[in-house]
Amino acid sequence: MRLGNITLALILLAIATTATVFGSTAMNNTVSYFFILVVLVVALGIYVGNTGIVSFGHPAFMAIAAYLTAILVMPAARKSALLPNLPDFLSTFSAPPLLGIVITVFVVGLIGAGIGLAISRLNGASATIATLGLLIVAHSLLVGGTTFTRGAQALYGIPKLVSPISAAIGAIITIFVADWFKHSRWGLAARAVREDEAAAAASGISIKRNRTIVFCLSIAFTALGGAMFALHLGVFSPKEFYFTLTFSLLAMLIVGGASSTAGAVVGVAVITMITEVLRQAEPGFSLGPIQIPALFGLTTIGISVALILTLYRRPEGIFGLKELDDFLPFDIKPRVYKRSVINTPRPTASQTPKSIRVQSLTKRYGGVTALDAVSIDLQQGEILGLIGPNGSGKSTFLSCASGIQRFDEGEVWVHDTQMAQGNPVAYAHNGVARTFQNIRLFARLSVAENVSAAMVSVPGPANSPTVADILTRVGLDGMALRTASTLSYGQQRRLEIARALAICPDFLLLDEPAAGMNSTETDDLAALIMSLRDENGLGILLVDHDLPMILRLSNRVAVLNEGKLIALASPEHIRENPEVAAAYFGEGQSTLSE
Amino acid sequence: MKQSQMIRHFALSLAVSMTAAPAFAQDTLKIGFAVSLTGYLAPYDTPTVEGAKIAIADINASNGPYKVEAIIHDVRSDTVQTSVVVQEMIDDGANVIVLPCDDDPAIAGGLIAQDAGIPSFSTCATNASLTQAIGEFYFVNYAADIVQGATLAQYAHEQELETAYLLVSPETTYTGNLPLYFGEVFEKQGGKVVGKGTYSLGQQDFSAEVTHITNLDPQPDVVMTSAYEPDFPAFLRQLRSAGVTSAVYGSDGIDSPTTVSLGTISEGVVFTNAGYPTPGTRLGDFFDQYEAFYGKKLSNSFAATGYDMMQVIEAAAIAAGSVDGRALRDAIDAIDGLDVVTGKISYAGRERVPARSVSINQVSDGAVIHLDTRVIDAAILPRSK
Repeated sequence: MRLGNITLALILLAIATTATVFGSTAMNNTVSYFFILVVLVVALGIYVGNTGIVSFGHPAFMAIAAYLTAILVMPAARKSALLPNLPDFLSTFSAPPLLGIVITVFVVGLIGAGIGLAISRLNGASATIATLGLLIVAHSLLVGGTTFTRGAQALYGIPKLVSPISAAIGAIITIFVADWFKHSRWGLAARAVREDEAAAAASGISIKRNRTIVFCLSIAFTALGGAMFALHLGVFSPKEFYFTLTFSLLAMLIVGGASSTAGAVVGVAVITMITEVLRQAEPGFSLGPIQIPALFGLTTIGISVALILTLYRRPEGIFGLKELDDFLPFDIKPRVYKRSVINTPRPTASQTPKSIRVQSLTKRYGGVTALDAVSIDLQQGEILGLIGPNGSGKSTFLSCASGIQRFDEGEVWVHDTQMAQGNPVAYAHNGVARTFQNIRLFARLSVAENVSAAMVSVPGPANSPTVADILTRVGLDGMALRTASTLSYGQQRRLEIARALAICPDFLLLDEPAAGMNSTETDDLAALIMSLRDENGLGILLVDHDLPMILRLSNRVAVLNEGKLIALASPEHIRENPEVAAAYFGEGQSTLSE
Repeated sequence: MKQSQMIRHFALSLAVSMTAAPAFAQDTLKIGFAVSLTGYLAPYDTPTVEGAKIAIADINASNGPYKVEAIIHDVRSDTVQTSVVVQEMIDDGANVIVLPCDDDPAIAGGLIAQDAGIPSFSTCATNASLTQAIGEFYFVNYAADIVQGATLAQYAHEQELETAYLLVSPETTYTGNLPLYFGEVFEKQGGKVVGKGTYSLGQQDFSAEVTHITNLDPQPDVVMTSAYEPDFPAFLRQLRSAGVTSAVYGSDGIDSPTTVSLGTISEGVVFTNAGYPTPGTRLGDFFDQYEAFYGKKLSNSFAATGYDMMQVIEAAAIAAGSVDGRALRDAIDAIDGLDVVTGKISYAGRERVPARSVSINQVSDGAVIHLDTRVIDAAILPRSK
């Protein structure tokens, strides 16, 4: 239980109590609706905030929930009058409101899980467009589904049961769950995916499954909001749940801060307050001797200005990525994550040293052959340097051999498992970790969260190192709470390695880890890499331009040129190989040692 | 400085109470307008409120027994906002509530007024079923769908049209039900509905529906629809291009300058509205009065029905001798043959759906000509869905 949430809950309860005791009926209506909006916006934030994908489709589920609740809770007599074609089990049944809400949340949550399965296959803008389609499809279904709805006509006579207190309780539950989820292992994984999909997949996070879970939970609470909406207003038709609502919910979320639960609440509060103040001013008023004329549309203008100002001044919303805890004068202990499954043996538990075997790998880009039947194997306990001129295919090889890129021919075996193409998650779960040429961290997460996200996603033995152990190992101790993007370049490189180590790998594929480092940093890095081989027995594939470092560290060196493997031998042999020298420096240079 | 401010304040309040004093001779009738001055309902609610304001100015100038105080708040075509604003107006002591021109907000606000025992009207929601949905305190103001549909059907029968094709969109009750009311009365009068097509609001391509009509043999005498812009012009253009010469009947949704501006395509189109401003008539005078009041021309009949509504409320208050909700409600329910700007209006014996005159108009030579204004007999009205 976090202090920020308790503070927020107390504030909301105080508002609800004040309204109940002192407020007029109209005030109570406004306050109840404010809490319902909090439920809806926080629920929307569960998806938008954690995944970074904007959804236009949530009001569709809210609509389904509102109809379902109405059908469940309405008195049977009224149902038969308004919805004569309802199936018998629904038309004769009238649920107590609380049961109606629970059934609604459960059923709509399940629908959300089903649709989440489909939507989670899409990325970024495609997913957003899909949710837009969802909104339109749901609207058409509600208008056309006259067995369960009244078509475009309003459904009315739903008992109005929502009070400020009950609405506040709904809002508080939503806030607590949203905040718990954000800091749960699924929420952490979702935020990691939001920051960098490729890195998240390489860290063993199953993106689709994760997004489905997030979507399902977000929809379940949207359903709670929809149910409360129905029981608050007592009358609605499909058009209530269309673009206008979509945009007001998104506006509130954006103003407050999509990635922050407290921000979502503040967004609703700010927009509600702007609306209430400007609404009173709309019909005109007198300011001393000055008569302000009526100006209808002021509220809409006010909300639009707030939205524009937010996007202009604080694109991440009022709260940004922060929560209320960050502003409270208490020391907040960060959550300590534990490995997800302990003591689950890897699929291949054999005594012999493991290996990655890449056989006849061919990758073509159109007419260009980037990799031409390259076969390389990497053993545990060795450092294999991979060098070659720019464009020789080093990074492509690394991407193909870590499941990020698909290839045209060949096979990749991790020990005795043949790996499916384009599935980096499986590589991570088989003990293959990697870093990226252009640093790919979960930039807006903390250092500890970067490592934790990978750690909670891949099972490992019980005695494997904790987050703190790993950070100490790479020399980032004491920086656990720093935001990753604020680290220096060399520290970011080391954090990437830390994250890779978090999955307890057997193999580490390092793509130019020393790029951009000064000589001290490079030396530290080299020491770290060697200790990982010597103390942890990792097999390390080291791609770099720093020839001296490669030749110094590697047990064996592979050389690529124009997609072909031209040499694979000990550093001494490579140093003397004229073909390698020619590839690097052109004809005339006979060996690298010169 | 402080003292002088106090004196000024005192003088001001004295002045205010003095100017307010004569008003005590009249009782105040407080009317809360929870209407949509922005959003998709604004094109209908705004002129209605404009007409009502003229009426209020006239009533207050006439030195009658009641002085009308209007509270006007925008509900942004939003159902939630309507329920909030209506509650505020009731808390504020409103005697009558005016609601937006659509079912959902009208029901949401109407139910609150119903609970408070205060009469309410929608500016122009034409769904007569709302009287059942809300209860005995709700009154329809505008010419209801059943009234327009029946009037058009009766007129079609008089024109000896025998077969009809109906084009509906189930997306709104207006576009979905009004043609069906027409069809129901048309068949009761001996006509036959030979086909029905469905369209979506905003649909630009009507080729499927038009092909459906051209394939009918013989072609229907009349094609009836409640489609409005931009659907109606698109449909009409494609219908005429396909060579269909059937009569086309529409409702007040096409009572707009666009319909006339379509040229030869819209020639002969028949449509109903709440009144045609023939010069010299009361309605004609009202159109002039509107232009004088607002400095712009009036192009539809919503302002006139807004004026009517205020006359109904004032007449009811005078008859009741009270602004009490129950008394007002009973008095409105008893109004019989009240002269209003669009003609005569009666609520007595009509279950809160008024008998009011409906004008039948036709597009002819790029102008709207007036065919007839009539009050439909309650006996031929269909049952509202």
